[in-house]
Amino acid sequence: MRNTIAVLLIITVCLFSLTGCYDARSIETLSYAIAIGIDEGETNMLKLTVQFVNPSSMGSNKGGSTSSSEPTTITSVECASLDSGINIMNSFISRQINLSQCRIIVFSETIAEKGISEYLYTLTDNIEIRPNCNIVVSTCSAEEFLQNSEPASETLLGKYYDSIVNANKYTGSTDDIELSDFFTAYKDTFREPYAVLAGINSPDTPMEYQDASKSTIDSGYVADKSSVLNDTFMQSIGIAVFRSDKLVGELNVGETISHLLLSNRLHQCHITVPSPFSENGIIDLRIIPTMDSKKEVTLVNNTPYITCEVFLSGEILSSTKGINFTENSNIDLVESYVDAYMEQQISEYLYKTSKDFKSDIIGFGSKVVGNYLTTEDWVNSNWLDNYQNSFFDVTVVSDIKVGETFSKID
Amino acid sequence: MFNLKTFLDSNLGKLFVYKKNKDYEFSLPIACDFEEDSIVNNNVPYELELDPSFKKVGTKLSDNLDYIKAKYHILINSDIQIKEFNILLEDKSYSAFIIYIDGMVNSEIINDFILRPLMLRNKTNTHDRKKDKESKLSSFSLEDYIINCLIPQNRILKKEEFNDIILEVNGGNCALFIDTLGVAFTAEVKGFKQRSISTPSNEVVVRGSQEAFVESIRTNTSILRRVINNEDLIIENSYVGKFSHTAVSICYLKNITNNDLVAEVQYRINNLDIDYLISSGQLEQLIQDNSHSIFPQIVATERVDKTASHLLEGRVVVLVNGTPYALVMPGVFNDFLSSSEDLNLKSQYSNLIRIIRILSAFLSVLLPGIYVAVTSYHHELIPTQLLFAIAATRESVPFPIIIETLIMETAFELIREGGLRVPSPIGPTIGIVGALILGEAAVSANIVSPILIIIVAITALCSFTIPDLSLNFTFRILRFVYIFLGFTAGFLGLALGLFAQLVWLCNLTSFGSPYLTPYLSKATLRTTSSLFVAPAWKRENKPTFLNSKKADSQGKISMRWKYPKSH
Repeated sequence: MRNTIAVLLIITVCLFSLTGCYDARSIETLSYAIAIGIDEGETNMLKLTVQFVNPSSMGSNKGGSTSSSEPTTITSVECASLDSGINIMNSFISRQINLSQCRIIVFSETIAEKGISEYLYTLTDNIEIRPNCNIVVSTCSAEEFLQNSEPASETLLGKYYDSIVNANKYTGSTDDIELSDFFTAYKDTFREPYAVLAGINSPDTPMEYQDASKSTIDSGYVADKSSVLNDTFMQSIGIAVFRSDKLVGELNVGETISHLLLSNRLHQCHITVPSPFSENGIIDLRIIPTMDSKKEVTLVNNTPYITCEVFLSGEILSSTKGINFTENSNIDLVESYVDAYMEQQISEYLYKTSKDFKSDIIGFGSKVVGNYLTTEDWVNSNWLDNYQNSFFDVTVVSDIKVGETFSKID
Repeated sequence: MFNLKTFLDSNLGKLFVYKKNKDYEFSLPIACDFEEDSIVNNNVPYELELDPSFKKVGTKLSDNLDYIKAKYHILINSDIQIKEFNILLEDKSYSAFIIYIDGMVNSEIINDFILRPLMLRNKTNTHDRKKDKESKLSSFSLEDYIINCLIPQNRILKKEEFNDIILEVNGGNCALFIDTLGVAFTAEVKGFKQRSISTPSNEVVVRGSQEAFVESIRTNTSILRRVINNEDLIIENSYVGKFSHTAVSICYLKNITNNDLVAEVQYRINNLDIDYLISSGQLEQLIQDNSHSIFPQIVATERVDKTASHLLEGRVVVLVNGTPYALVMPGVFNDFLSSSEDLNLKSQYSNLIRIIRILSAFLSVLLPGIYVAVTSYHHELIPTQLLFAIAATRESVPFPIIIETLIMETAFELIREGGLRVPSPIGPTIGIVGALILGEAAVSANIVSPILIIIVAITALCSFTIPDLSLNFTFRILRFVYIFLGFTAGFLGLALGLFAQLVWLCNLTSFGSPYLTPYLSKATLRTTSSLFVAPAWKRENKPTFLNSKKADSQGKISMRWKYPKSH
């Protein structure tokens, strides 16, 4: 018994001395940041914007009456670094700022173009920031972005930030890029990082398509210039392409789908292709990758020759009237159209990233790295610079199916 | 002129002066000051003189009578009855007396089957044995004649030691002393009132026997024998307590139970130096392996079917007179999480409820501790929306989380204890008070947050699923320990606590069986005492930790009707 008491005493002393109650921080004493925005500063190095949640507006609806306070508070400070900015905010916010619930980190386009490596290291070193929070590049300033990000159908902001990125599982309009993905890609020698591209859409901003020749196809939309006509709200469409830590370009929806197909990250999406049956007609398809894409890289005189094979299954969702899809010849025709359309889309995307952006965001480098015996040889080969010389050969194999509905209607 | 000062001085002074109570005063003198001679009660001498050297029944009846009267304090004891009479035998008359305790015997049996044959003239006692040719050959013994011919009783014993006789009389039998005989006879005449067999009140099952033990040890052994229905069931009697001489029955199956286990139980029970034993709960504490452990090491059950199935596995059961609970030993951790219903249901059903029970065991111990740890140290573990919901409810609560949790847990313990002790007519009040305090009022008054009510409610629900009362108490104590650990060191504290508890449990044994047997050692699944319940046709082995004499409990193919060729 004496031994037991001694052991219990030792454990208690250890518990208090190792951690101690003084380390405990009660939930209500903390202010939780849900989003962080980083802009270029006017008077200082940067402008830090933090969006806090007002817990009182979220759960307490005592007696059936909901609280009228705003769900979030947005505060901005001009500061020299992220940590000093948080420090300044702590001095005028009554509660201690906690970043453990931060869902997205928004960089403005202007600061991303200048390079974000410094902030990346600060963010990854911070113990409170989760590695799975999303990295977003906003076409407007980060402060404006956060101010306009009001959930349309979600009542909880954190869930809203999750859902807009998760929507890519059925739209394919962007990719779910987390801080850990971005940072690893930035550090890797065989691929480049990319981030979610988002912007604020308002009826004031004119509709604009990246490629005028395909004005009827919705895949040409980019963030902040798509066809939402009613209200001002945040939209994440497309991908922001980086070379090292600097933003070099943006991809529209169609190019994002091509990227997701090649990097095997597409779950399903809708595409619209020109109809082979009528001049101005279109066919809507739901496409699902049937197996992982095959990518091979051959170095011909140190010039990369890249062959890609993509396997799809498609389902016709809508079509112009009067076409009999029970006939195999019609299906074959659509299949060949889809193959050609997707091959062209993917090739355009690949040449755009290699020639225009000079950025290997798919990571073809990982296919080449095996050809080098030492890390030194590989680093000296300078793959990321060599990627711009690449040639691509894309093959798409699609298997189009049609619902029974069409045959019955006809 | 009224002077307030003098009035106050005179009256207030009197008010606060110590006054000795002159009317009546009583205090208990300490034992050594106790003077026997000074005690007088209704002018009757308090004690008769007792000869300590007198241990065996003497041939002089008056000596025996004096001894018995002194032993039973006949002058002050109201329910001890001594009936003196004369026995008629072959026209000779012998003085005799019987002693019994009023209320414990059946008077009709005494009258009809003891007094009547002995006192009245009948064919037997007037029979002249000298005329009997056969009896001439054999030597005549009056003792045997009384047992064999005179008293028509099924259980009549010859006793020489006064201690044995007194034990019998205390148990509700009567003793017969006859002049010139150096022995006394005890006859079974029990007739006291006792509770009839009823349904189990604390271990309720849906599918299973509805018989529970009662207070009378003989009734309990009879139910047990009825269920087991085998001549190898041994029920050994022993007496515990120098004053109370409480009857204790050690039950086991001769051809199954390990001899050493039986010997160990007998050794422990026979080597207890206590004055009295009132219940099996006291005996449990006196014979368990580790006296300081908060974990129960002996299964206490009121269910006959559960006791019988443990006996058939090869365990030892101890019944204590006066307690409607049987003690089953050894008891390992898994036994306290099992219900007797587990074996009656299909294995799929019982495994489902067993998983639920294991989960709820974890939750009932750890949930408040986890809540305190997470809300104090590990906020990032809580899903964002839930965190904000908790933060919102916590905003108006003035206490730290640990105080809030302790308030609620203490309130719940109060309601639980209050509900148990409250007299039944005002029982529903506890429910109303509890619901009001725990539910609405505490939240409205901003003393606790609603989320904590949920935590405490889930914990309470989980603790109700633990089938064993003792283990429930263990978990209640541990819950507070884990709340404290969670508060001082978060998950580190909880992990340390769990680690210490595991070491503690691994070190524990119950009558030589490791406490965590089915979990840790290489135990076969095909038993009735495994972690998960095997189907009825697959329970081929007895639990390995019992080292029973018979290793299997059914044939390899138990359903012969289905596979007749495999035999």
